[in-house]
Amino acid sequence: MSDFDARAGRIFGPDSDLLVELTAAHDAAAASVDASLLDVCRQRMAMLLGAPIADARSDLAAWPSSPDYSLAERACLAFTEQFVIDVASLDDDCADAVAEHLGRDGLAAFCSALLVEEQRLRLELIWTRLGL
Amino acid sequence: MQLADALMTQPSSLNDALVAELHRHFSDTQLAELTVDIMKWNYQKVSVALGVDDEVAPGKLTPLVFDERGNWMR
Repeated sequence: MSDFDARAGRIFGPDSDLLVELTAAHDAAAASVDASLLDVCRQRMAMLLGAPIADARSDLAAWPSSPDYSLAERACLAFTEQFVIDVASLDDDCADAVAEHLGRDGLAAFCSALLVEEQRLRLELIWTRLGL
Repeated sequence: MQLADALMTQPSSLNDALVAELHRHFSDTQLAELTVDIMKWNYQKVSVALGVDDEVAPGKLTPLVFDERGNWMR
């Protein structure tokens, strides 16, 4: 069980329907996207939101200029940043770059997985701030 | 509204005064439920990101109707 799930369980109860749905959404997201790709994007989202990150790649903030990121990772990281910062500004080129590597269905799955990860990050941050 | 703004922009930006004010009005359980209720509307980001968020009524405001359980009725 993840830290998020454990915390949600403490807040809403270990047998709550909400916890079941939150866990199911996360499991579905994890199953739909390459794990390492989603993880690096999750780490970047955490950085942008000011969330604590365990085992973050040390050069992640400098990914645009780092030679250690694949073309697929770069496309997905660019998409992730726009998704978090200003989703309405996400343009077709950014989405197409991801689709070039993941396909159209993969783009949709990736986008949905980002949403799940972002929601969990934001909830953890706000729960911490509220002392929950 | 300020809680929603913080949650949607920078959750860590919630200031101490607002946190105290929220706790004066809501229990921990209510606050937790509020945060989840606010976050669930984030699902719209997927449609926006994929460019499939067409207007329901182009050029017009769309009234939101909810059932007795608070579920949005399309």
